[in-house]
Amino acid sequence: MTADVLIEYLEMLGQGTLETIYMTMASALFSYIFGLPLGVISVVSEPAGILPNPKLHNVLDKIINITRSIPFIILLIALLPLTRLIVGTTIGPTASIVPLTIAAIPFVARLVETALKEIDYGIIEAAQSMGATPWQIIRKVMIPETLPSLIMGASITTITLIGYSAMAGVCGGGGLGDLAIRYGYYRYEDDVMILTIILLVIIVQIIQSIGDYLSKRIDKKNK
Amino acid sequence: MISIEGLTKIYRSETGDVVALKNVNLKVSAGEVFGIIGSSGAGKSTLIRCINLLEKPTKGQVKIEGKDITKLSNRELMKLRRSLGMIFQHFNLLMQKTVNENIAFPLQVANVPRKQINERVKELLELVGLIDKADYYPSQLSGGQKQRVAIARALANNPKVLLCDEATSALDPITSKSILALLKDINKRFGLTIVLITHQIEVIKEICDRVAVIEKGQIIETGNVVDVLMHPKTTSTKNLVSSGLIDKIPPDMVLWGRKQDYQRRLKVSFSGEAAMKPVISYMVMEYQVYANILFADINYLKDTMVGELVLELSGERNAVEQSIRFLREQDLVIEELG
Repeated sequence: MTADVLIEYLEMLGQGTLETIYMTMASALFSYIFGLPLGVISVVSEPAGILPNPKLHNVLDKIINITRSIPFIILLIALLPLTRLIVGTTIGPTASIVPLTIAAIPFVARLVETALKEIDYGIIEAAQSMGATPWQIIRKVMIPETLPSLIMGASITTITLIGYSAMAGVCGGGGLGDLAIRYGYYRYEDDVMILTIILLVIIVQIIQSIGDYLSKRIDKKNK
Repeated sequence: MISIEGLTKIYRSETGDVVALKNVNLKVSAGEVFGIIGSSGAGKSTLIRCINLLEKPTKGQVKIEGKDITKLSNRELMKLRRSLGMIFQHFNLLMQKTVNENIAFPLQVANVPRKQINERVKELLELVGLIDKADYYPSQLSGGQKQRVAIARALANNPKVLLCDEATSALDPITSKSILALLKDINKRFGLTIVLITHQIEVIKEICDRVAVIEKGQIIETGNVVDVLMHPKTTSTKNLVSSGLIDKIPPDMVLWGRKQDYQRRLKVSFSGEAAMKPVISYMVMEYQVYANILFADINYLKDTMVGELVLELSGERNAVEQSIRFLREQDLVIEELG
Protein backbone atom coordinates (compact mmCIF):
# COMPACT_ATOMS: atom_id res chain seq x y z
CA MET A 1 0.00 0.00 0.00
CA THR A 2 1.53 3.31 -0.99
CA ALA A 3 1.50 6.40 1.21
CA ASP A 4 -1.05 8.12 -1.05
CA VAL A 5 -3.46 5.24 -0.81
CA LEU A 6 -2.98 5.01 2.93
CA ILE A 7 -3.76 8.71 3.41
CA GLU A 8 -6.78 8.37 1.16
CA TYR A 9 -8.02 5.44 3.23
CA LEU A 10 -7.45 7.24 6.48
CA GLU A 11 -9.35 10.26 5.20
CA MET A 12 -12.13 7.98 4.12
CA LEU A 13 -12.30 6.32 7.52
CA GLY A 14 -12.19 9.68 9.28
CA GLN A 15 -15.07 10.94 7.21
CA GLY A 16 -16.94 7.68 7.72
CA THR A 17 -16.56 8.04 11.48
CA LEU A 18 -17.85 11.60 11.42
CA GLU A 19 -20.78 10.58 9.24
CA THR A 20 -21.66 7.72 11.56
CA ILE A 21 -21.56 10.03 14.57
CA TYR A 22 -23.65 12.63 12.74
CA MET A 23 -26.32 10.13 11.64
CA THR A 24 -26.49 8.50 15.01
CA MET A 25 -26.68 11.67 17.04
CA ALA A 26 -29.20 13.37 14.77
CA SER A 27 -31.49 10.35 14.64
CA ALA A 28 -31.14 9.80 18.39
CA LEU A 29 -32.19 13.40 18.95
CA PHE A 30 -35.16 13.22 16.58
CA SER A 31 -36.27 9.84 17.88
CA TYR A 32 -36.38 11.26 21.42
CA ILE A 33 -38.35 14.30 20.29
CA PHE A 34 -41.09 11.91 19.17
CA GLY A 35 -40.38 8.80 21.25
CA LEU A 36 -40.21 10.45 24.67
CA PRO A 37 -43.72 11.96 24.53
CA LEU A 38 -45.00 8.75 22.99
CA GLY A 39 -43.59 6.69 25.85
CA VAL A 40 -44.96 9.14 28.42
CA ILE A 41 -48.42 9.13 26.85
CA SER A 42 -48.40 5.36 26.72
CA VAL A 43 -47.58 5.11 30.44
CA VAL A 44 -50.00 7.75 31.71
CA SER A 45 -52.85 6.41 29.57
CA GLU A 46 -52.60 2.92 31.06
CA PRO A 47 -55.74 1.83 32.92
CA ALA A 48 -53.91 2.35 36.23
CA GLY A 49 -52.04 5.44 35.01
CA ILE A 50 -52.54 9.05 36.04
CA LEU A 51 -54.61 9.88 32.94
CA PRO A 52 -56.23 6.55 32.17
CA ASN A 53 -57.36 6.12 28.59
CA PRO A 54 -57.31 2.40 27.76
CA LYS A 55 -58.34 2.91 24.12
CA LEU A 56 -55.52 5.33 23.38
CA HIS A 57 -53.13 3.11 25.28
CA ASN A 58 -54.09 0.08 23.22
CA VAL A 59 -53.73 1.91 19.93
CA LEU A 60 -50.29 3.24 20.87
CA ASP A 61 -49.24 -0.17 22.12
CA LYS A 62 -50.22 -1.79 18.81
CA ILE A 63 -48.47 0.87 16.72
CA ILE A 64 -45.29 0.55 18.75
CA ASN A 65 -45.33 -3.23 18.49
CA ILE A 66 -45.99 -3.30 14.77
CA THR A 67 -43.26 -0.79 13.96
CA ARG A 68 -40.83 -2.59 16.20
CA SER A 69 -41.42 -5.90 14.52
CA ILE A 70 -40.44 -4.66 11.03
CA PRO A 71 -36.77 -5.53 10.42
CA PHE A 72 -34.76 -2.36 9.93
CA ILE A 73 -33.34 -3.37 6.58
CA ILE A 74 -36.88 -3.70 5.21
CA LEU A 75 -38.09 -0.50 6.82
CA LEU A 76 -35.12 1.25 5.27
CA ILE A 77 -36.18 0.24 1.76
CA ALA A 78 -39.90 0.69 2.38
CA LEU A 79 -39.30 4.24 3.57
CA LEU A 80 -37.28 5.32 0.51
CA PRO A 81 -40.15 7.36 -0.98
CA LEU A 82 -40.71 9.15 2.33
CA THR A 83 -37.01 9.82 2.66
CA ARG A 84 -36.92 11.32 -0.81
CA LEU A 85 -39.92 13.47 0.05
CA ILE A 86 -38.33 14.86 3.21
CA VAL A 87 -34.63 15.11 2.32
CA GLY A 88 -34.80 15.22 -1.48
CA THR A 89 -32.44 12.26 -1.91
CA THR A 90 -32.14 8.70 -0.66
CA ILE A 91 -28.36 8.47 -0.38
CA GLY A 92 -25.90 9.95 2.05
CA PRO A 93 -25.95 10.32 5.84
CA THR A 94 -28.66 12.99 5.96
CA ALA A 95 -31.03 10.74 4.03
CA SER A 96 -30.29 7.89 6.45
CA ILE A 97 -31.53 9.98 9.37
CA VAL A 98 -35.15 9.53 8.23
CA PRO A 99 -35.38 5.71 8.42
CA LEU A 100 -33.11 5.63 11.46
CA THR A 101 -35.36 8.05 13.34
CA ILE A 102 -38.53 6.23 12.37
CA ALA A 103 -37.08 2.86 13.39
CA ALA A 104 -35.88 4.28 16.70
CA ILE A 105 -39.08 6.08 17.75
CA PRO A 106 -40.95 2.96 18.93
CA PHE A 107 -37.75 1.61 20.44
CA VAL A 108 -37.32 4.83 22.42
CA ALA A 109 -40.98 4.81 23.40
CA ARG A 110 -40.59 1.32 24.88
CA LEU A 111 -37.42 2.23 26.74
CA VAL A 112 -39.05 5.37 28.13
CA GLU A 113 -42.07 3.33 29.17
CA THR A 114 -39.93 0.79 30.98
CA ALA A 115 -37.96 3.52 32.75
CA LEU A 116 -41.07 5.43 33.84
CA LYS A 117 -42.72 2.29 35.14
CA GLU A 118 -39.83 1.77 37.53
CA ILE A 119 -41.12 4.59 39.70
CA ASP A 120 -42.72 3.57 42.96
CA TYR A 121 -46.43 4.26 42.54
CA GLY A 122 -46.53 5.61 46.10
CA ILE A 123 -44.47 8.61 44.99
CA ILE A 124 -47.02 9.46 42.33
CA GLU A 125 -49.80 8.98 44.85
CA ALA A 126 -48.03 11.35 47.23
CA ALA A 127 -47.78 13.98 44.49
CA GLN A 128 -51.47 13.52 43.72
CA SER A 129 -52.30 13.93 47.40
CA MET A 130 -50.55 17.32 47.27
CA GLY A 131 -52.79 18.47 44.47
CA ALA A 132 -50.25 18.13 41.66
CA THR A 133 -51.74 18.18 38.17
CA PRO A 134 -50.95 15.28 35.80
CA TRP A 135 -48.64 17.55 33.85
CA GLN A 136 -46.79 18.54 37.03
CA ILE A 137 -46.51 14.88 37.97
CA ILE A 138 -45.00 14.00 34.58
CA ARG A 139 -42.59 16.92 34.54
CA LYS A 140 -41.61 17.18 38.17
CA VAL A 141 -41.98 13.63 39.43
CA MET A 142 -41.96 10.92 36.78
CA ILE A 143 -39.17 12.22 34.56
CA PRO A 144 -36.77 13.54 37.23
CA GLU A 145 -37.25 10.45 39.39
CA THR A 146 -36.44 8.07 36.54
CA LEU A 147 -33.77 10.19 34.88
CA PRO A 148 -30.92 7.74 35.60
CA SER A 149 -32.85 4.99 33.77
CA LEU A 150 -33.82 7.36 30.98
CA ILE A 151 -30.15 8.19 30.44
CA MET A 152 -29.23 4.51 30.33
CA GLY A 153 -32.00 4.10 27.76
CA ALA A 154 -30.56 6.93 25.68
CA SER A 155 -27.17 5.27 25.54
CA ILE A 156 -28.76 1.96 24.54
CA THR A 157 -30.71 3.80 21.82
CA THR A 158 -27.60 5.51 20.51
CA ILE A 159 -25.65 2.25 20.40
CA THR A 160 -28.51 0.49 18.63
CA LEU A 161 -28.62 3.33 16.13
CA ILE A 162 -24.93 2.86 15.36
CA GLY A 163 -25.73 -0.72 14.44
CA TYR A 164 -28.69 0.34 12.31
CA SER A 165 -26.63 3.07 10.64
CA ALA A 166 -24.24 0.40 9.40
CA MET A 167 -27.18 -1.32 7.69
CA ALA A 168 -28.09 1.97 6.04
CA GLY A 169 -24.79 1.52 4.20
CA VAL A 170 -26.53 -1.07 2.05
CA CYS A 171 -28.52 1.72 0.43
CA GLY A 172 -25.56 4.06 0.20
CA GLY A 173 -26.33 5.68 3.49
CA GLY A 174 -22.79 6.80 4.27
CA GLY A 175 -20.78 6.30 7.43
CA LEU A 176 -18.56 3.45 8.56
CA GLY A 177 -21.10 0.78 7.66
CA ASP A 178 -21.13 2.00 4.08
CA LEU A 179 -17.32 1.69 3.95
CA ALA A 180 -17.35 -1.76 5.45
CA ILE A 181 -19.87 -2.96 2.90
CA ARG A 182 -18.32 -1.31 -0.14
CA TYR A 183 -14.64 -1.99 0.59
CA GLY A 184 -14.67 -4.80 3.07
CA TYR A 185 -17.47 -6.89 1.56
CA TYR A 186 -17.75 -6.08 -2.15
CA ARG A 187 -14.03 -5.60 -2.68
CA TYR A 188 -12.64 -8.07 -0.15
CA GLU A 189 -10.44 -5.45 1.50
CA ASP A 190 -10.21 -7.03 4.91
CA ASP A 191 -8.09 -4.28 6.48
CA VAL A 192 -10.81 -1.70 5.84
CA MET A 193 -13.36 -4.04 7.35
CA ILE A 194 -11.21 -4.57 10.43
CA LEU A 195 -10.53 -0.86 10.84
CA THR A 196 -14.22 0.00 10.63
CA ILE A 197 -14.97 -2.61 13.25
CA ILE A 198 -12.29 -1.21 15.55
CA LEU A 199 -13.65 2.30 15.09
CA LEU A 200 -17.21 1.16 15.78
CA VAL A 201 -16.12 -0.65 18.92
CA ILE A 202 -14.39 2.49 20.16
CA ILE A 203 -17.43 4.68 19.47
CA VAL A 204 -19.75 2.22 21.22
CA GLN A 205 -17.43 2.02 24.21
CA ILE A 206 -17.26 5.78 24.54
CA ILE A 207 -21.04 6.20 24.38
CA GLN A 208 -21.66 3.39 26.87
CA SER A 209 -19.11 4.83 29.29
CA ILE A 210 -20.60 8.32 29.07
CA GLY A 211 -24.08 6.89 29.66
CA ASP A 212 -22.98 4.81 32.65
CA TYR A 213 -21.08 7.71 34.14
CA LEU A 214 -23.91 10.23 33.79
CA SER A 215 -26.53 7.81 35.05
CA LYS A 216 -24.50 6.96 38.14
CA ARG A 217 -23.48 10.53 38.72
CA ILE A 218 -27.02 11.91 38.87
CA ASP A 219 -28.61 8.97 40.69
CA LYS A 220 -29.23 9.89 44.32
CA LYS A 221 -31.41 6.91 45.07
CA ASN A 222 -28.82 4.15 45.13
CA LYS A 223 -26.08 5.97 46.96
CA MET B 1 -64.87 18.97 59.75
CA ILE B 2 -65.03 15.70 57.88
CA SER B 3 -68.23 13.79 57.47
CA ILE B 4 -68.49 10.54 55.60
CA GLU B 5 -71.98 9.37 54.74
CA GLY B 6 -73.02 6.06 53.27
CA LEU B 7 -69.62 5.50 51.73
CA THR B 8 -69.34 2.37 49.63
CA LYS B 9 -66.43 1.32 47.49
CA ILE B 10 -66.60 -1.62 45.17
CA TYR B 11 -63.65 -2.75 43.08
CA ARG B 12 -64.90 -4.28 39.88
CA SER B 13 -62.78 -6.86 38.17
CA GLU B 14 -63.26 -9.68 35.73
CA THR B 15 -63.10 -12.23 38.52
CA GLY B 16 -65.95 -10.51 40.36
CA ASP B 17 -66.68 -7.49 42.49
CA VAL B 18 -64.86 -6.88 45.73
CA VAL B 19 -66.66 -4.75 48.29
CA ALA B 20 -63.93 -2.82 50.06
CA LEU B 21 -66.20 -0.48 52.01
CA LYS B 22 -69.82 -0.94 52.87
CA ASN B 23 -72.02 1.95 53.95
CA VAL B 24 -69.43 3.67 56.12
CA ASN B 25 -70.54 6.62 58.23
CA LEU B 26 -68.02 8.69 60.16
CA LYS B 27 -67.70 12.16 61.59
CA VAL B 28 -64.39 13.74 62.47
CA SER B 29 -64.45 16.99 64.43
CA ALA B 30 -62.03 19.84 63.87
CA GLY B 31 -58.87 19.61 65.96
CA GLU B 32 -59.21 16.01 67.04
CA VAL B 33 -56.99 13.03 66.40
CA PHE B 34 -59.20 10.36 64.94
CA GLY B 35 -57.91 6.83 64.58
CA ILE B 36 -59.24 4.06 62.37
CA ILE B 37 -58.03 0.64 63.41
CA GLY B 38 -58.44 -2.68 61.68
CA SER B 39 -56.48 -5.66 60.55
CA SER B 40 -55.00 -5.81 57.06
CA GLY B 41 -57.60 -6.09 54.34
CA ALA B 42 -60.28 -4.52 56.51
CA GLY B 43 -60.57 -1.55 54.14
CA LYS B 44 -58.89 1.14 56.20
CA SER B 45 -56.45 2.06 53.45
CA THR B 46 -59.30 2.50 50.99
CA LEU B 47 -61.24 4.51 53.54
CA ILE B 48 -58.48 7.04 54.19
CA ARG B 49 -57.89 7.36 50.43
CA CYS B 50 -61.54 8.23 49.96
CA ILE B 51 -61.07 11.30 52.16
CA ASN B 52 -58.84 12.98 49.57
CA LEU B 53 -60.33 11.03 46.69
CA LEU B 54 -57.19 9.14 45.77
CA GLU B 55 -59.88 6.47 45.59
CA LYS B 56 -63.20 7.43 44.06
CA PRO B 57 -66.13 6.21 46.16
CA THR B 58 -68.66 4.05 44.35
CA LYS B 59 -71.47 5.48 46.43
CA GLY B 60 -71.91 7.95 49.26
CA GLN B 61 -70.63 11.33 50.21
CA VAL B 62 -67.43 12.70 51.66
CA LYS B 63 -68.00 16.15 53.09
CA ILE B 64 -65.23 18.44 54.18
CA GLU B 65 -66.47 21.50 56.04
CA GLY B 66 -69.93 20.72 54.78
CA LYS B 67 -68.97 20.51 51.13
CA ASP B 68 -69.43 17.24 49.28
CA ILE B 69 -66.07 16.74 47.60
CA THR B 70 -67.19 13.86 45.41
CA LYS B 71 -68.96 16.47 43.29
CA LEU B 72 -65.88 18.62 42.71
CA SER B 73 -64.33 19.14 39.28
CA ASN B 74 -60.76 17.95 38.78
CA ARG B 75 -59.42 21.46 39.13
CA GLU B 76 -61.31 22.08 42.36
CA LEU B 77 -60.23 18.72 43.70
CA MET B 78 -56.56 19.50 43.15
CA LYS B 79 -57.01 22.77 44.98
CA LEU B 80 -58.80 21.02 47.84
CA ARG B 81 -56.04 18.42 48.16
CA ARG B 82 -53.60 21.20 49.00
CA SER B 83 -55.57 21.70 52.21
CA LEU B 84 -55.33 18.00 53.06
CA GLY B 85 -51.83 16.78 53.88
CA MET B 86 -51.02 13.10 53.71
CA ILE B 87 -48.20 10.90 54.95
CA PHE B 88 -47.56 7.28 54.09
CA GLN B 89 -46.17 4.05 55.51
CA HIS B 90 -43.27 4.05 53.07
CA PHE B 91 -42.78 7.83 53.17
CA ASN B 92 -42.97 8.20 49.38
CA LEU B 93 -40.32 10.88 49.15
CA LEU B 94 -38.82 12.00 45.87
CA MET B 95 -35.61 9.98 45.87
CA GLN B 96 -33.74 12.18 43.41
CA LYS B 97 -34.43 15.35 45.36
CA THR B 98 -32.89 16.73 48.54
CA VAL B 99 -34.81 17.16 51.79
CA ASN B 100 -35.15 20.84 50.94
CA GLU B 101 -36.51 20.15 47.48
CA ASN B 102 -38.90 17.52 48.80
CA ILE B 103 -40.45 19.97 51.23
CA ALA B 104 -40.52 22.68 48.58
CA PHE B 105 -42.33 20.41 46.13
CA PRO B 106 -45.94 20.93 47.32
CA LEU B 107 -45.27 24.67 47.44
CA GLN B 108 -44.04 24.65 43.85
CA VAL B 109 -47.08 22.64 42.89
CA ALA B 110 -49.22 25.39 44.43
CA ASN B 111 -47.23 28.07 42.57
CA VAL B 112 -45.94 29.78 45.69
CA PRO B 113 -43.28 32.42 44.90
CA ARG B 114 -39.70 31.19 45.30
CA LYS B 115 -38.78 33.54 48.13
CA GLN B 116 -41.75 32.47 50.19
CA ILE B 117 -40.93 28.82 49.50
CA ASN B 118 -37.44 29.20 50.96
CA GLU B 119 -38.77 30.78 54.13
CA ARG B 120 -41.50 28.23 54.59
CA VAL B 121 -39.14 25.29 54.01
CA LYS B 122 -36.82 26.62 56.72
CA GLU B 123 -39.71 26.94 59.17
CA LEU B 124 -40.79 23.39 58.47
CA LEU B 125 -37.28 21.99 58.79
CA GLU B 126 -37.10 23.59 62.21
CA LEU B 127 -40.50 22.21 63.16
CA VAL B 128 -39.47 18.62 62.41
CA GLY B 129 -35.93 19.08 63.70
CA LEU B 130 -34.02 18.42 60.49
CA ILE B 131 -32.44 21.80 59.83
CA ASP B 132 -28.98 20.21 59.51
CA LYS B 133 -30.19 17.66 56.96
CA ALA B 134 -31.55 20.15 54.43
CA ASP B 135 -29.19 19.12 51.63
CA TYR B 136 -29.27 15.38 52.27
CA TYR B 137 -30.97 12.96 49.91
CA PRO B 138 -33.64 10.60 51.30
CA SER B 139 -31.37 7.58 50.77
CA GLN B 140 -29.01 9.10 53.33
CA LEU B 141 -31.68 9.35 56.02
CA SER B 142 -33.08 6.90 58.56
CA GLY B 143 -36.72 5.81 58.46
CA GLY B 144 -37.71 8.21 61.22
CA GLN B 145 -35.98 11.11 59.50
CA LYS B 146 -37.69 10.24 56.22
CA GLN B 147 -41.08 10.32 57.93
CA ARG B 148 -40.19 13.70 59.44
CA VAL B 149 -39.44 15.02 55.96
CA ALA B 150 -42.76 13.58 54.80
CA ILE B 151 -44.56 15.32 57.67
CA ALA B 152 -42.87 18.63 56.86
CA ARG B 153 -43.85 18.18 53.22
CA ALA B 154 -47.44 17.35 54.12
CA LEU B 155 -47.69 20.47 56.28
CA ALA B 156 -46.12 22.82 53.74
CA ASN B 157 -49.36 24.30 52.44
CA ASN B 158 -50.82 24.74 55.94
CA PRO B 159 -53.46 22.03 55.58
CA LYS B 160 -56.47 21.78 57.83
CA VAL B 161 -56.31 18.02 57.93
CA LEU B 162 -53.45 15.56 58.01
CA LEU B 163 -54.16 12.03 56.79
CA CYS B 164 -51.77 9.38 58.08
CA ASP B 165 -51.67 6.08 56.22
CA GLU B 166 -49.94 3.62 58.58
CA ALA B 167 -47.38 6.33 59.25
CA THR B 168 -45.47 4.40 61.90
CA SER B 169 -45.91 0.83 60.69
CA ALA B 170 -42.52 0.69 59.00
CA LEU B 171 -40.67 2.15 61.96
CA ASP B 172 -39.17 0.58 65.06
CA PRO B 173 -41.04 1.13 68.35
CA ILE B 174 -38.82 3.94 69.63
CA THR B 175 -38.86 5.85 66.35
CA SER B 176 -42.62 5.28 66.16
CA LYS B 177 -43.02 6.94 69.52
CA SER B 178 -41.02 9.96 68.47
CA ILE B 179 -43.07 10.35 65.29
CA LEU B 180 -46.31 10.03 67.26
CA ALA B 181 -45.01 12.63 69.72
CA LEU B 182 -44.32 14.96 66.82
CA LEU B 183 -47.83 14.43 65.44
CA LYS B 184 -49.32 15.04 68.89
CA ASP B 185 -47.32 18.23 69.19
CA ILE B 186 -48.45 19.46 65.77
CA ASN B 187 -52.05 18.63 66.62
CA LYS B 188 -51.83 20.67 69.83
CA ARG B 189 -49.88 23.61 68.47
CA PHE B 190 -51.75 24.19 65.25
CA GLY B 191 -55.08 22.59 66.08
CA LEU B 192 -54.58 20.40 63.02
CA THR B 193 -57.18 17.68 62.57
CA ILE B 194 -55.49 14.30 62.19
CA VAL B 195 -57.07 11.19 60.71
CA LEU B 196 -54.91 8.12 60.93
CA ILE B 197 -55.25 4.47 60.07
CA THR B 198 -53.29 1.77 61.80
CA HIS B 199 -53.31 -1.84 62.82
CA GLN B 200 -51.39 -1.07 65.99
CA ILE B 201 -53.44 -0.47 69.12
CA GLU B 202 -50.45 1.36 70.63
CA VAL B 203 -50.87 4.14 68.09
CA ILE B 204 -54.51 4.57 69.09
CA LYS B 205 -53.59 4.58 72.78
CA GLU B 206 -50.78 7.02 72.26
CA ILE B 207 -52.40 9.89 70.40
CA CYS B 208 -56.02 9.37 69.43
CA ASP B 209 -59.01 11.13 70.94
CA ARG B 210 -61.56 9.02 69.14
CA VAL B 211 -61.38 5.73 67.36
CA ALA B 212 -63.37 3.74 64.84
CA VAL B 213 -62.91 0.01 64.45
CA ILE B 214 -63.23 -1.29 60.91
CA GLU B 215 -63.81 -4.87 59.94
CA LYS B 216 -64.62 -6.32 56.52
CA GLY B 217 -65.27 -2.86 55.13
CA GLN B 218 -67.66 -1.83 57.86
CA ILE B 219 -67.30 0.35 60.92
CA ILE B 220 -68.24 -1.86 63.84
CA GLU B 221 -67.56 0.52 66.68
CA THR B 222 -66.86 4.23 67.17
CA GLY B 223 -66.28 6.33 70.24
CA ASN B 224 -63.84 7.92 72.62
CA VAL B 225 -60.68 5.91 72.87
CA VAL B 226 -61.09 5.41 76.61
CA ASP B 227 -64.65 4.11 76.20
CA VAL B 228 -63.95 1.83 73.27
CA LEU B 229 -60.83 0.36 74.77
CA MET B 230 -62.22 -0.14 78.22
CA HIS B 231 -65.64 -1.37 77.21
CA PRO B 232 -65.35 -2.92 73.80
CA LYS B 233 -68.75 -3.96 72.49
CA THR B 234 -67.75 -6.53 69.91
CA THR B 235 -65.46 -9.53 70.07
CA SER B 236 -63.36 -8.17 67.24
CA THR B 237 -62.69 -5.02 69.16
CA LYS B 238 -61.96 -7.04 72.27
CA ASN B 239 -59.40 -9.04 70.33
CA LEU B 240 -57.77 -5.90 69.03
CA VAL B 241 -57.76 -4.23 72.38
CA SER B 242 -57.16 -6.76 75.10
CA SER B 243 -53.81 -8.13 76.03
CA GLY B 244 -55.63 -11.43 76.18
CA LEU B 245 -54.52 -12.15 79.72
CA ILE B 246 -57.82 -11.69 81.51
CA ASP B 247 -59.61 -14.26 79.44
CA LYS B 248 -56.95 -16.78 80.15
CA ILE B 249 -57.50 -17.00 83.89
CA PRO B 250 -59.58 -20.14 84.33
CA PRO B 251 -62.79 -19.15 86.12
CA ASP B 252 -62.75 -22.13 88.48
CA MET B 253 -59.18 -21.70 89.49
CA VAL B 254 -58.71 -21.13 93.22
CA LEU B 255 -55.53 -19.31 93.76
CA TRP B 256 -55.66 -18.66 97.39
CA GLY B 257 -58.17 -18.79 100.17
CA ARG B 258 -59.35 -20.78 103.07
CA LYS B 259 -62.21 -23.20 102.53
CA GLN B 260 -64.51 -21.34 104.89
CA ASP B 261 -64.05 -18.02 103.09
CA TYR B 262 -66.56 -16.43 100.81
CA GLN B 263 -64.93 -15.55 97.48
CA ARG B 264 -65.79 -13.27 94.63
CA ARG B 265 -63.85 -12.43 91.50
CA LEU B 266 -64.10 -8.95 89.97
CA LYS B 267 -62.76 -7.04 87.04
CA VAL B 268 -62.14 -3.45 88.02
CA SER B 269 -61.57 -0.85 85.34
CA PHE B 270 -60.52 2.63 86.20
CA SER B 271 -59.55 5.77 84.41
CA GLY B 272 -58.60 9.36 85.10
CA GLU B 273 -58.60 10.51 88.68
CA ALA B 274 -59.82 7.23 90.09
CA ALA B 275 -56.57 5.67 88.97
CA MET B 276 -54.62 7.94 91.26
CA LYS B 277 -56.31 6.94 94.52
CA PRO B 278 -55.16 3.98 96.64
CA VAL B 279 -58.66 2.50 96.61
CA ILE B 280 -57.70 -1.13 97.12
CA SER B 281 -55.52 -0.51 100.17
CA TYR B 282 -58.30 1.51 101.71
CA MET B 283 -60.82 -1.24 101.05
CA VAL B 284 -58.60 -3.91 102.56
CA MET B 285 -58.04 -1.93 105.72
CA GLU B 286 -61.60 -0.74 106.07
CA TYR B 287 -63.45 -4.04 105.44
CA GLN B 288 -60.86 -6.59 106.51
CA VAL B 289 -60.94 -8.62 103.33
CA TYR B 290 -58.15 -10.34 101.48
CA ALA B 291 -57.54 -8.96 98.04
CA ASN B 292 -55.56 -11.08 95.63
CA ILE B 293 -54.56 -9.38 92.40
CA LEU B 294 -54.75 -11.86 89.53
CA PHE B 295 -54.11 -9.40 86.77
CA ALA B 296 -53.23 -5.74 86.59
CA ASP B 297 -52.49 -3.40 83.74
CA ILE B 298 -52.10 0.33 83.51
CA ASN B 299 -52.12 2.23 80.25
CA TYR B 300 -51.80 5.80 79.18
CA LEU B 301 -54.35 6.70 76.56
CA LYS B 302 -53.11 9.94 75.14
CA ASP B 303 -53.12 11.85 78.45
CA THR B 304 -55.51 9.72 80.46
CA MET B 305 -54.34 6.96 82.74
CA VAL B 306 -56.50 3.87 82.56
CA GLY B 307 -56.14 0.53 84.19
CA GLU B 308 -57.64 -2.89 84.58
CA LEU B 309 -57.43 -5.13 87.55
CA VAL B 310 -58.74 -8.60 88.21
CA LEU B 311 -59.24 -9.06 91.93
CA GLU B 312 -60.19 -12.01 94.01
CA LEU B 313 -61.77 -10.95 97.26
CA SER B 314 -62.13 -13.40 100.07
CA GLY B 315 -63.19 -13.21 103.70
CA GLU B 316 -66.45 -12.91 105.59
CA ARG B 317 -69.42 -12.87 103.26
CA ASN B 318 -70.59 -9.56 104.63
CA ALA B 319 -67.19 -7.94 104.38
CA VAL B 320 -66.79 -9.04 100.78
CA GLU B 321 -70.23 -7.75 99.80
CA GLN B 322 -69.53 -4.45 101.50
CA SER B 323 -66.19 -4.16 99.75
CA ILE B 324 -67.85 -4.62 96.39
CA ARG B 325 -70.42 -1.99 97.27
CA PHE B 326 -67.60 0.33 98.30
CA LEU B 327 -65.79 -0.21 95.01
CA ARG B 328 -68.97 0.54 93.10
CA GLU B 329 -69.28 3.85 94.89
CA GLN B 330 -65.90 4.92 93.60
CA ASP B 331 -65.38 6.04 90.03
CA LEU B 332 -64.77 2.49 89.02
CA VAL B 333 -66.37 0.10 86.60
CA ILE B 334 -66.95 -3.22 88.26
CA GLU B 335 -67.68 -6.39 86.41
CA GLU B 336 -68.28 -9.56 88.40
CA LEU B 337 -66.50 -12.55 86.99
CA GLY B 338 -67.91 -15.06 89.48
